[in-house]
Amino acid sequence: MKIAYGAAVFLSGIFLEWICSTHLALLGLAPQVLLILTVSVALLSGPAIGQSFAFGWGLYLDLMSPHLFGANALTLTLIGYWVGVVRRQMDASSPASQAMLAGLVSVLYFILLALIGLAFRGKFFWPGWRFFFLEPFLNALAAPFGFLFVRALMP
Amino acid sequence: MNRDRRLANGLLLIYGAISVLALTRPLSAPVMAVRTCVSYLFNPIPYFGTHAIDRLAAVPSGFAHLISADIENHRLREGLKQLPLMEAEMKSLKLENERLRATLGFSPLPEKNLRWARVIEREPVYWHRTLLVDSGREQGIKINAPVLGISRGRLGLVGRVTELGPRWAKVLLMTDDLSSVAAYLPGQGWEGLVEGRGGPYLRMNYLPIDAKLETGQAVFTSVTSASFPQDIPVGRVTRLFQQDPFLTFQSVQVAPEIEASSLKEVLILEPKRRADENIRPSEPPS
Repeated sequence: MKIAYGAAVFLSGIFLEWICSTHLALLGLAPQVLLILTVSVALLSGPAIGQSFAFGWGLYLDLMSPHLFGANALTLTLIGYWVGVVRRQMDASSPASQAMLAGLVSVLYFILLALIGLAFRGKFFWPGWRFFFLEPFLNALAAPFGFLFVRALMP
Repeated sequence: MNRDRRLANGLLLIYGAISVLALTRPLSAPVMAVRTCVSYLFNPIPYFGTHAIDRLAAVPSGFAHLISADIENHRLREGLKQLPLMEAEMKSLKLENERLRATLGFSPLPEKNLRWARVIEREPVYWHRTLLVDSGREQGIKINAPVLGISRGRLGLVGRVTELGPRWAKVLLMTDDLSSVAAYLPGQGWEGLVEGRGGPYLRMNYLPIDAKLETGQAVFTSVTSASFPQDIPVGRVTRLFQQDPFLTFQSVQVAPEIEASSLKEVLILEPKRRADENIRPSEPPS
């Protein structure tokens, strides 16, 4: 049963990411659903499950990347692992703390992705300042809904 | 260290190793196989998702459409009666066009196999880099096929096909920093290379030092382009970069003719044949 719930979260996460990024993006900006869900799953289920979901979702995101296949998989895996490990040291029960955590992780995501670009392609992979400054806010706004979604599907 | 933590560390090592392998050896057979498997598993989601959304969106308008279809049917039947006349007129115009082309010495336009495809996915992080469209190998799309777009009634260059699935294709946008196209500025005919920057603007390099450039000039694909048909609008010059005394060329910033992020549909052409594909090896003497 747990596997069925997990599969439902995994596939609906991809579907939600696609809906948000393709149909709801405004001027190229949309919440990074898979990043938010990675944080949520890692917080609720621990580092092993969190990073496993993150790796699969990262591979999906990497399909759209013309440059670095594996960059998102590695970035999200590291984030899933880190959030899962430090979850006992933080209180993420309120929407405000979930939003702050999602904002912080979004900044970390861009920095890690840029560093992976520098390490494996010799070029800083930079999505632009607009993304760097605005995406964390969008992710922070969407984070409480992501937590609710994961909590509802993965009891 | 408890069991969960050991499991998490082990998984991190495995996932990390797979990711690093994919990053360091992107063209190796195992990595390509993983990439193909992942695309076969996940790409049906946007493909079928797009079609499902279309069907759902069409339900309310479907009823109104049935009524208007009947009215339209009557109108079309009337229009059909005019068809033979229009056909005869079109044939006459075609003949006239060919005669005028021959008089002016223009070569006829080559037949192009065109296909419209719908944009089914784009990612904010790769906004200026890639698009996924809903036509692939089954629809006859080929690798390296030029992709054009029409926005506000204007045709322009969008990019080229770099990956293919059975029913999807990935388009590398002109704005990606792996993209480049030979282009020219009409008037003086200055040629250069337009390159993507990973952002909203392009950069045109290798323009002669003595070229008189100004903002607002249109940029078109050149006849020397290996992948794109000639005279397709690429964009307009928006900024002249200060000349570097150590370089023997000038550079300008170009705003793309088509804002790819606003496109819902794209036009995919047949890829341009390479010159050496037309050369057949001579038969060995018997």
